[in-house]
Amino acid sequence: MSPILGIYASQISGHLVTNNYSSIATQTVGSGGASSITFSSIPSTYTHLQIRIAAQTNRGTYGIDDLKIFINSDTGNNYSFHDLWGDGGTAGAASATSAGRIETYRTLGTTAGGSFGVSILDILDYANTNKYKTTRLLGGVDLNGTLAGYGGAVDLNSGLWMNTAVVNTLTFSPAAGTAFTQYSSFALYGVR
Amino acid sequence: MTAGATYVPIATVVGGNGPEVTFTSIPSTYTDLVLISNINTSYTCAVGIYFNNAPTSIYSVTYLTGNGSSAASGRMTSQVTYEPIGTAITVPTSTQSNVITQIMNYSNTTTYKTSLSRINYPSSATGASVGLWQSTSAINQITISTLNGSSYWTANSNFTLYGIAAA
Repeated sequence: MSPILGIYASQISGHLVTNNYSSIATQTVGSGGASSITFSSIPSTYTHLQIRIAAQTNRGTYGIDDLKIFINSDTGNNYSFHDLWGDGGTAGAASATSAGRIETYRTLGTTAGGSFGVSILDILDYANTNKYKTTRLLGGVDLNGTLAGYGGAVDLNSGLWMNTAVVNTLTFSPAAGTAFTQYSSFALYGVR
Repeated sequence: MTAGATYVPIATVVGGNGPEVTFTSIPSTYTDLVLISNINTSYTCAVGIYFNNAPTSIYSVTYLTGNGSSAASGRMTSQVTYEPIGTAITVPTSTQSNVITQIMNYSNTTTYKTSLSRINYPSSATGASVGLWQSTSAINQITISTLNGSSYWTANSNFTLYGIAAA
């Protein structure tokens, strides 16, 4: 690997030695939709996890939706997160403490808007039992304009799960819609 | 759960011959593509990415930038290319910059294609964006353009395409 590529590798979430970046599992939503997506029994043999998402929800009226993330089925107020986003007109930021989930801002498309939102989520040092778990995400959705007054956004999100347990289960659900629609896909990778 | 190694380099193109570089005959065997554009230009310019040799007005982008003193966001609709940071901030000629673009679910023929970019212009700005190509065609060709026939990618520019295959 050249020095230049080594520098890039630190910026792109994956690692360029292909044996160190492995596909673990993928879930693609069928015609009936899915209220949530869960990866369980995640092996602890990697150093980091990456989840690559292309997803749409059944939310009506608006073209955007938020993504909720739960770790190890924990729905208690054990999370915090920060968002930095651009919505086409404003650069904004928000945060939540003692929250019941990690939530990202306008990273899902909807059937009303016709687009699919995309996200790349990294969960760092997920199998380490000595520290709380930190996540980061780059995501967004674009609608080629606005729908019902709201357009897409690009979002940078950092999240914290205040638990030292090994991450072995991940669950994703829409914030406003009731289901992910057909062709939504969630692909889990392990990074050594 | 089974695991399969992936993240495969597909091709690299070096600049020096004009305002555009193109990857052709991209295999459809991956799930996502990662395009690393390590760029330097002869004159300041924007960056435009278009697919399948089709620079038609079905691209849009929403972006977030920081220029050292303020943060801003903008949107461009019905464009002929996906411009990862719009046109307000141009590629500086004095430094090496990079744009890292994730082209998600590129080979499916059912949905429009959405991409994410991180933009790093170290002498002027940093940013991120989400781009939409309103086509259900599988992407088999990617062109990266200076959007200015007088501005060339210099020989210090290189573009590498990677494929990621999901299980």
